[in-house]
Amino acid sequence: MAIPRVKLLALLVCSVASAGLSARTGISLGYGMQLNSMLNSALKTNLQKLVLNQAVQPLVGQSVGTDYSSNWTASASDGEIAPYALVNLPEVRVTSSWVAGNNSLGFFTALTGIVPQTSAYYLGGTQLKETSVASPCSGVNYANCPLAAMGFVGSSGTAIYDTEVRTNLRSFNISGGFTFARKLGTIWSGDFILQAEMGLSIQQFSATTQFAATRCTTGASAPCSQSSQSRVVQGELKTQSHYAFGPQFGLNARYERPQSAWFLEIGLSAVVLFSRLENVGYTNFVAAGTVAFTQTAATLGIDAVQNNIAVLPAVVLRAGYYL
Amino acid sequence: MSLSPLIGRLIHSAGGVLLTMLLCFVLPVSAAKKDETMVSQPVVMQGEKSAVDEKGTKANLRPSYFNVYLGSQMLLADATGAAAARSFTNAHMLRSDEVIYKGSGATISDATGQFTFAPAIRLEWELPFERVRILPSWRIFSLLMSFDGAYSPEKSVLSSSGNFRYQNAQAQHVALTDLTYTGTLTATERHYGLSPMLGVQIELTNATMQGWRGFSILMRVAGGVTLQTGQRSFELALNPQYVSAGSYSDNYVIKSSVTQAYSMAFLAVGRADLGVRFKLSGSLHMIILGSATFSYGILPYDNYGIFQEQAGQNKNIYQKVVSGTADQEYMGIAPAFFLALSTAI
Repeated sequence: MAIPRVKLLALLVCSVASAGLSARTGISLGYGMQLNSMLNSALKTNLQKLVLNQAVQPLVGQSVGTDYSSNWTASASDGEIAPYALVNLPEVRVTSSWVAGNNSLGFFTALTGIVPQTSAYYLGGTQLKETSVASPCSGVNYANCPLAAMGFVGSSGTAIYDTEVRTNLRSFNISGGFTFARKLGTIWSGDFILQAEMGLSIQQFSATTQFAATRCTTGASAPCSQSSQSRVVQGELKTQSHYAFGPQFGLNARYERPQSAWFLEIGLSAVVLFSRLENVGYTNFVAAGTVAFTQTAATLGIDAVQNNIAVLPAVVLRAGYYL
Repeated sequence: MSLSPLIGRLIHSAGGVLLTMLLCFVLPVSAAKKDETMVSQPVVMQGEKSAVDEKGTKANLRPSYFNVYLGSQMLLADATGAAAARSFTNAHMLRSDEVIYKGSGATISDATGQFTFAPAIRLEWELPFERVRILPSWRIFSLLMSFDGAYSPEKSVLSSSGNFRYQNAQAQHVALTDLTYTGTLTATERHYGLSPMLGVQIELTNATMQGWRGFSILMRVAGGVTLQTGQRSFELALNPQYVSAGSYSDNYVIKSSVTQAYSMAFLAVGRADLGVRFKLSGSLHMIILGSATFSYGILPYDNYGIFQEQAGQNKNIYQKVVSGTADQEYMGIAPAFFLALSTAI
């Protein structure tokens, strides 16, 4: 017969409370990695919309009374432009627990992240392509092929750019919750303890992407022999969380030696993160040092606000000390 | 060679002072270890200073506490920030010093209230000095470790509504050189921060006060850093107007949307608390606390946005990306009020 959860919890509490109680508080420093793949799916899409116009949004405008519209896209020729799957996760953590025999109940609070890191990088070529009704663009047709008319693509309607993309990630998260631990046995003259935990994680993160793609109208690599030959596609995108929080579940294996204040721990955790992301940015087409065309992030198909749900597993190694 | 001159030189140097302090810690410990080899010591529970011996005699140690606070900070108006927002608006949205799309006519008013309430939370560990091995056993003192979080709701900083005149000395048609639009300009701001802090508490009580449900007075100071993230959003929303001028006949509008944002700015932060604690039941206590937090640092804003003139359906005629950075000094005091549940551990 299954034991009701409330009774099980009461049993655990009683098993701790019935034995002789002692309390202890430990502080630990840790380092680990978080698998960001689920969150990255949104960030990757935005990144590729910004740099490659993956949403195929036309560049529209009016110049000297003439309407123009450009259908442009780009493709990366040296790999994928995408965020890294893993992010670094430094951690400082405080735990307090009531210990009774082989069991303990307690609280934990942890602060993770903080250290700025590069979360996406691409260095290589991209091919810019402009098409019109009569694909591809060729010759001077400002109304339908403004990029070709301004020398951003050649007579074939394409051009290769030397491109560098970098995303800097800054994040931190605070988590807190309850722990239940049980000593499972003795190993290497010390105690092996398994601890389960459940709590709430509140995160903050911002990802700043900057990219620049350069070429010379002569086909040579930048720097160009004359500034009038320079063509640059560059842009920025700032993705910042309005809020990000969710439940956190964890399992820790701890090793500690009797009469020693030190302990070592490996922790596995997963956060189900509910977040709202805000995006703002632009892509510029710069000819000979002058901005010729601009598309904002919104006109590139990047939503100004995105709601996201992601599961973020992590593993952290910790060294700690009981105060 | 005698060691005395060497020790004397060391003691008179900074390194010597540190070494002396280290020796002060290490020598008593070494002596104690020698004693342990000579006599049988009582069993001591780990993590405490001689909490329970083998006969079950408990030392009268004060308990540790884990405290969960909920409350509200009262953010005072930031005049420096409002002035910076006004300057930014004049430069990038009204473009008061530009030749093309030079704005005028708008009256920008300060929309900042005297204060804003920001929900705040604090998780805190409170360890009596006598329970921490490396600290002196001063009975009324406790070590505090806390994580504070505060979230300011979005608040208005500047606002303007009415006529916005934009002059363009290099317009492509004379009909577009001087246009006046109606609409609004708004600037809003929000931020949130997380503050790990270390501090010291003095807990005052006596037998009479203990009779009042274990009543005690808490006086604290703490210091640390705030990791603060925030942004200002500027929005120029004007109504399009139809201009009839040959091939330039269309609905024209000027619009601008700019975000100034910073992530994880490090602010030095100090805090002073005054409060009371009393017992609710068993080991559960309540704390009523008044607090004031002082913050100082640089807010490294990054600017992202655009100023543009458009015709018809989002056809850009002119676009100017607003980019770059803007460091702003920030100094503020935030009084706060908290209620906390406090459990003795």
